Amino acid sequence: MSFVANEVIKMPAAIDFVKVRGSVAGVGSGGTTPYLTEFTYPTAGSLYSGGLRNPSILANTELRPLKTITYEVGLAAKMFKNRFGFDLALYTGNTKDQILSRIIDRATGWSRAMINAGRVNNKGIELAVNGTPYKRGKFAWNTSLVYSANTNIIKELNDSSVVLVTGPVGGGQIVAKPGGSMGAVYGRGYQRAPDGQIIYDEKTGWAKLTEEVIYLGNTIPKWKMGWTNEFSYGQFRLHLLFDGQWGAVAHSLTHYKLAEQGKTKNTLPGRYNGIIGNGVIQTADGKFRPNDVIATDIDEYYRSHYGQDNAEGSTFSTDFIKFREARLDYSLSPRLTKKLRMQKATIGVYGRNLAIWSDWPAFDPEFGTLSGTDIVQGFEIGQFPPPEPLA
Amino acid sequence: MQKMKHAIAGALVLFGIMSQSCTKDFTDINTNPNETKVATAQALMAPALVNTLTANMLRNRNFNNELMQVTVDISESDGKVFRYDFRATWADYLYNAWYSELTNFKDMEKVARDPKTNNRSYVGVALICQAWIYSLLTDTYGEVPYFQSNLARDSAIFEPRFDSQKEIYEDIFKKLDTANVYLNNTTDGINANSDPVFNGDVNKWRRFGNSLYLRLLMRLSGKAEVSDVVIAKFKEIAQTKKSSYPIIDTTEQSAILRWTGVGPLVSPFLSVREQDFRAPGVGEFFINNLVNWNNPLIDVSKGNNSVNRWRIAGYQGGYSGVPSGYQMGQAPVRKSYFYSQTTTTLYNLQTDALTGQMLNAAEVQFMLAEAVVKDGSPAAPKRTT
Repeated sequence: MSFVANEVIKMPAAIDFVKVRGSVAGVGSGGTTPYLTEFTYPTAGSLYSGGLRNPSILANTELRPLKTITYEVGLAAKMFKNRFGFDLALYTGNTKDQILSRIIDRATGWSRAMINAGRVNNKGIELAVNGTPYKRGKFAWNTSLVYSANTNIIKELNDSSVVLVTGPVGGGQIVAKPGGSMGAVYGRGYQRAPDGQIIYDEKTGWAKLTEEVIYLGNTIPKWKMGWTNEFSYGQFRLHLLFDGQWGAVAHSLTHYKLAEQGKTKNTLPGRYNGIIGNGVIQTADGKFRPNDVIATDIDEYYRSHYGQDNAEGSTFSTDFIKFREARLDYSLSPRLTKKLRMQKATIGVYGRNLAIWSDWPAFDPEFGTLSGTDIVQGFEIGQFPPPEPLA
Repeated sequence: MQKMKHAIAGALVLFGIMSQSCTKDFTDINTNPNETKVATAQALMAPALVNTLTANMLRNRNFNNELMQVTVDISESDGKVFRYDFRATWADYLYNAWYSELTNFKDMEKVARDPKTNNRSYVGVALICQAWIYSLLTDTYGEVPYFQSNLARDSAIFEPRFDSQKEIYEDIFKKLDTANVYLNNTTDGINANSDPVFNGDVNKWRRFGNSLYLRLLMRLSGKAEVSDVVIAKFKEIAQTKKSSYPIIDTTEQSAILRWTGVGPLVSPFLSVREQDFRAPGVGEFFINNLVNWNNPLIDVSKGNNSVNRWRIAGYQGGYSGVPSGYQMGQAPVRKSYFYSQTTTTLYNLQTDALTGQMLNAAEVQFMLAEAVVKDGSPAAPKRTT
């Protein structure tokens, strides 16, 4: 449903177009993996002649399609002779019966079971602004900004917690809990004093780790943004795209493995003389004093930080800004193209993923599938660098 | 005429509404053409046995040997098993592996009991394997799910109840008694190719089941509340009803999954990197006792090609181990160790065919000997060859 306000109400001359819209949509869907409703025996491997085994994922004959109902309101406007415009959308959606494979007690006979998980709410905002700040003669500058933010809350769940993904090391896992998010990462981490400082061992000087898993962050970014600029002068056109995201974390196996082997620069301090970790020591009476113990076994010291028992140590922010795309085009003049019996011809250079600014220790903070309602990956496992095509 | 047009139009509309069904062809579309819905007992047998032994052997090497001072994985770091300092993450590996394979053995029993595919031998073998794995589970973890386990598919039980060891053992004994009856004089054969333990010899399976019975009875014989019953049963099997309870008498009847290297029967120790296989030192406690007892297992003259039977490397002309749980900061040098596959190509435990031990003749003789010592039972032990 939409309402074009400028056709009904008299607007100031600067405003060309205003539209208010609202929508309610219900969508049902399944997944992309077939045969989740049927019990079958997969092959036990080609080495067995006809050997079969039970699958690790238990099918669910009662599996229902997931259903999403979304309410959305929007406002779009254009003004100053189409030199400036924006489009704002606010939405809230409930997804019911999401199809998930949850980890179950192996004494049930299977390691995972297909389930329909309760109800997940997604709300967010999307804003697109575009404008032409400068235009004179042959020169024009177009710019546009796209911003989106999303929060994901589990409203109902058929259990107090459901493990969705387990990570490779450190007890890392993504756990769904009512009131939590579908992207909440847990894992073993540092023992911390009440003021948040890391507690070190009073003898060895290594960081002390928790026995249980703790909350480490969310793998779903709070917001994402993209900024496009286009400059044109005559037959030349320059197109630049930057984008970024903020507010998510992920576990990096690459960092864990390289740091454990002493191949990263952050394992250099103290390599020859020992190091005093930045934190506190718990004394016998339960109080804390600043750490003053020199860890001389530097291998074990860094293992306590980045080793395989510490998921927190290799969990990093996936915030980034990327110089995503650059493109320079030259369009041949119509006279020339006409001679060549063509309608249009353009010559250009083009590059993608030209630069990444991020604290992420491995190649690219964007990996796996990061989508709002689906299971996010959250665990980087031996990633490859992203392609950087230049054409 | 007009009426007829209305009728035709109405019929078309009705047809359109009725044929427009979203669930049309759902059953067909959701039928997996690549996988089968039914598995025969023989198809399930070999993979389940291989996977169980694989889990057992890998954990034996990297965990049990460290706890029992057989090997010492020399290192100063935290969480070393030989210091009895290990994280909870070690705990669930066998639990997970064993319950997964129980699903396969239970399906094997189910399909063999089905009137259409009835086979008494497979029922017996499946029961023995279940009894074996459940006994490992309860001996390792104490109270575990038993009566409600592996029922997620058939009864939708996702949080199975934990049962007491007493109840578990009682039911395991029932399973073994049933297996002994099922495997007696059966004409139902089992496929030799899908049986990596006994090559389809049903009688040997029966002997394994009854020997396992002895092992579990011996284990319970010290529990005051059941000792009378289990000792009586032990006597029955070993002595009074010998003919209806055949047990493992000779080494060629031993229950061993033989890693022939053919097809899937490749030793799980070959999945360990060679340098890792050689890395742990042999423990002082273990090797010194073998030396003091003049144990034939480390006597090179009884091995092959100057390599003793347990394929342990010598050190400075003899055997020498490192102390398990040595003081921090005093890491010893590794001395004797287990040979890997290329150090002594034919004679090492990585490629050895006999490492898949389930229950061997020697253990049975030891049990009989123990019974004699404790009770004066006249089932005289004898030497195995």
